[in-house]
Amino acid sequence: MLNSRLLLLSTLALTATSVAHAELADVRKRGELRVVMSGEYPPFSQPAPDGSLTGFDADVAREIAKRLGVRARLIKAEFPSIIAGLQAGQFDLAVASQSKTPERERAVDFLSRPYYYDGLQLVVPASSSVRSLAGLGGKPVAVAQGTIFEKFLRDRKYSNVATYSGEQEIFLALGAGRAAGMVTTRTVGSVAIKNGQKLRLAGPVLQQDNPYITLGKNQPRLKAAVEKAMASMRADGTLKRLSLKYLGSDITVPAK
Amino acid sequence: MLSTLSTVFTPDALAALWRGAQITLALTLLSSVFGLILGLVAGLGRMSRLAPVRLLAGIYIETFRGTPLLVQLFFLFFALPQITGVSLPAFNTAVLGLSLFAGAYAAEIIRGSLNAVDRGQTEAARALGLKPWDILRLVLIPQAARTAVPALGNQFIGLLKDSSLASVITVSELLLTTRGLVSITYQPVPLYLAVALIYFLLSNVAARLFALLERRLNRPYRTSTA
Repeated sequence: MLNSRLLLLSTLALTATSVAHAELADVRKRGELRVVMSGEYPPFSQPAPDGSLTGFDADVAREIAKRLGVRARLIKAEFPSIIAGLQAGQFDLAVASQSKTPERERAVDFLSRPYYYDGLQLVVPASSSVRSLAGLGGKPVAVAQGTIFEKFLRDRKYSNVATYSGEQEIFLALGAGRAAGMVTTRTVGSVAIKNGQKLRLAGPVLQQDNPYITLGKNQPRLKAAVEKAMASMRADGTLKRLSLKYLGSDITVPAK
Repeated sequence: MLSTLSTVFTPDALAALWRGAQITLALTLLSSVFGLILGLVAGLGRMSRLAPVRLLAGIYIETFRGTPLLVQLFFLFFALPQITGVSLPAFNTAVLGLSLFAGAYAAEIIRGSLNAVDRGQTEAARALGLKPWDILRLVLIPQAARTAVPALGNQFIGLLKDSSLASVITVSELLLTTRGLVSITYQPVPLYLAVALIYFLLSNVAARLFALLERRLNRPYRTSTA
C-alpha cells in the first residue's frame, strides 16, 4: 500500500505542470543564474583545476549570466537529470549540448537557434578496421543513456545498443573490449583522440547534430533575455572566440 | 607507471579529492546525527501506547526502509519541488534524504535494543517511583545504548558509502569529483583505486571510533565481572 502511494505521488509529480519555475525576476532577485551541464563532457564541460567547471558550455553559461547582470552558478548533473531538474525548477538554464527531439520539446523550452553545429560520429578503437555501423555486424555499440546518440541507434534499429551513464564509462568500455564502437559527436571524439584515447573516427558524419540551450517551460521573459544575450554574443564575436578557444575551430555557424 | 601517477595526481587533483572527501564527510556526519534523532523518535513512536503514533512511526519506517535510497533522493530533488513548490539546495536535499533513510533503520535498531533490556529493569525502576521519562532516560537508554552501538556503527559506516548516491542529485561529493577527474585525465584505474582507498580509510577511522565508544559503554560491565 505504501509503495502504491509513493507510485501515485511520483505519477502526480510527473504529470503536474511545473510550478516552481524561476522567471527572470526571480533570477534577478536571487542575483544568480543556475546553469546545469554535464561537467564530464570535454571539451564542452569539464572540471577546472580549482574545482569549478570549464569548457565551451561553461564559458557560454558564464557569459550569458554576465549579460543578464547576475552571477553564474554552474551545476554538474548526469545527462538524464538535466531535463528533470529544469522541470523541477532546480536549474534555470541548461547549456548542456542538448539536441532537439520531439520528446524533449514537450518537456522543456528550446531557444530559437542552435548555439553550435556538430555531427554524430561513429568512433571505434584505433585497432579496429570498421568503417561504418553496418560493418560492426551487431557487436555492442556504446552510447550515453538518454542522449540523442542512443535515440539515433534505436531509431536505426541497431540490434546491440549498450547504454552507459556517460562518455567516460564508454571510453572505459571500449578500452576493455566491452563495446566495439561508440556514437558521440565529432568534436567530443576528436578531443578524446587528441587527449590520448586509442580511438579512431570511423566513416563520415552520420547525422547533423545541432545543440540548443534549454530552459523550463513558461518562462518567456527569461527566454527572451537569454536569446538577447546569445544574439549579442554572436554579434560581438564572443561565441566564435569561445569556440576557437575550446574546440579549435568555429562551429557556431552552420557548416557550408 | 610512476610518471602516470604524477600526471594524474597533480596538486589540483588532490585538492579536488580533498574537497570531495570533505563534502562526503559532512553529508555522513550530518545525516548520522539527524538520523539518530529521527531513529530515536520513530523507534519510541513504534513502542508508543497510542495507536496513531505507532501507525505514523510504522509508515515512516516502512516507507524509507522499503524503497531504494536512490529513488528517495530522486523524489526529494526532482518531484517534491513540483508538488510543494519548495525547492531545497542539492546539499540540503541530500542530507534530508540520507537522514530519513538512516533514521528508518536506526529506529528498528533502537527499538530492538530497548526491547532487549530486561523487563525487570523497568519494573524495578517503576517500583522505585521513577516517572516514565526518567525510566527511559536513566535506566533504559544507558543499557540499550550498549547493545545498539555496534549495529548503529554498522549503519553509519554504511551511510558513508551510501552518501555517494548524492552524486545523482548533483552534489559534488567524493565520487562525482572523481568522475570529473576521470573525464579530464582519461585515467580511471588509478583514480578509482584512490577513491576506494579514501572511502576505506574513512570507514576504518569510523570503525575505530565506534570500537572505542563500545569499550567505553562496556566499562561498567567489565568491572562488575572482574
